[in-house]
Amino acid sequence: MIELELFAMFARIGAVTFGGGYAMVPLIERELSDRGWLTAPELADIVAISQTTPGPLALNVATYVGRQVAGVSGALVASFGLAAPAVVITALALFIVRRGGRWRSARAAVRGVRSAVLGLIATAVLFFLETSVMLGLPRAPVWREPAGPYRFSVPAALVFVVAFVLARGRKPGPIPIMLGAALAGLGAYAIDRLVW
Amino acid sequence: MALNNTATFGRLVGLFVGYAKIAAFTLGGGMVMLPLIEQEFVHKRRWLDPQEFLDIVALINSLPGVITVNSSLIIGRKVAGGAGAIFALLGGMLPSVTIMLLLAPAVAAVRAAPATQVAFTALRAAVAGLILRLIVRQGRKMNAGWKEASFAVFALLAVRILGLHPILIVPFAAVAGVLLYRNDKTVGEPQE
Repeated sequence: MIELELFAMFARIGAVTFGGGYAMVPLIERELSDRGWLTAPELADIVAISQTTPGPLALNVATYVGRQVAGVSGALVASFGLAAPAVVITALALFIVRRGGRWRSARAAVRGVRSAVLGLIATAVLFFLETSVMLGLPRAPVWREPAGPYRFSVPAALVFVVAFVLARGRKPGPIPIMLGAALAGLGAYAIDRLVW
Repeated sequence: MALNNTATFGRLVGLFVGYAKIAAFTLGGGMVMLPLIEQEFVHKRRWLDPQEFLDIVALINSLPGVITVNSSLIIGRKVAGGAGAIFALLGGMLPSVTIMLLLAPAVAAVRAAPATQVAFTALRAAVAGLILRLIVRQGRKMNAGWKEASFAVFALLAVRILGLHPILIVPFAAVAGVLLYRNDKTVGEPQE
């Protein structure tokens, strides 16, 4: 049953990701591409859109993916699947805290995981780059999947760098940056059509 | 919990509405929501004291999963027991699930047009830049040094070159973290 698979898939993702929505992107990508449920550009766009809509990123993605795969019931099942492990994990954590557990090894483990999560988030950067700036990067594992026809997009690279630099300060904030990028894309398309 | 039924019911409704309201009007996810949650449940309704809230934030920071989901379950439970946890969770999930369900058909239609395809390509490039900034910021906040950087690089290479399933990174990093930081006194309180 596809609902059951959706539930299990998002429960798995919800149980193991530290560090919020971006760290979940490589996992979701892996799980979806294994099943052929959503293309990489579509996932990238949903993650991008999720940032301009309220609510947690991962929950928005779960709802969208669930809906595309199995309709409204799929959306609900995926969302609750994502939340399900937290019921157990938070209850367990409260129990441990109440028992006075302020474990040094637990904190050491968390520091290790949080550092590694930065690497997982970096794979999300690559994921977005390879659906915009650099098409045809080799997929992992590299010896099994040959690189596709490679294409580097200079305008997209420019948008990437400008967004990175603008995101340095509090202003203008992520949403104006993303809107600006989308408008720049539309503008580039319009100019392209008018001139040639 | 020494509350009569009406008081408990009031708390359940307050948790549901409070979480739904905050989730509907914040962009940027769980961390952005925490100050608003503090405002609602600590200062306005006085259902939690400030120290209790700080402890909860520290705990949430060291748990896996979606921050909003974890915070709703823990705060709901502290405020009104198991039922409170469920009401807060449902309140926190309602806006984003509803909005995404309404938006999904439109997104699929809009993505098909050639002009929006170019716009979306630019959008993806911008998001890559935003996430890279987030990594830099997060690394600074953690006071990341060469140890932390090598964790991150190993994780990146394992996933992208070796094709290791990202889930496997977590247990490996946890074990390596214990080995590396076990006797490190500076790994004290959780960050943030």
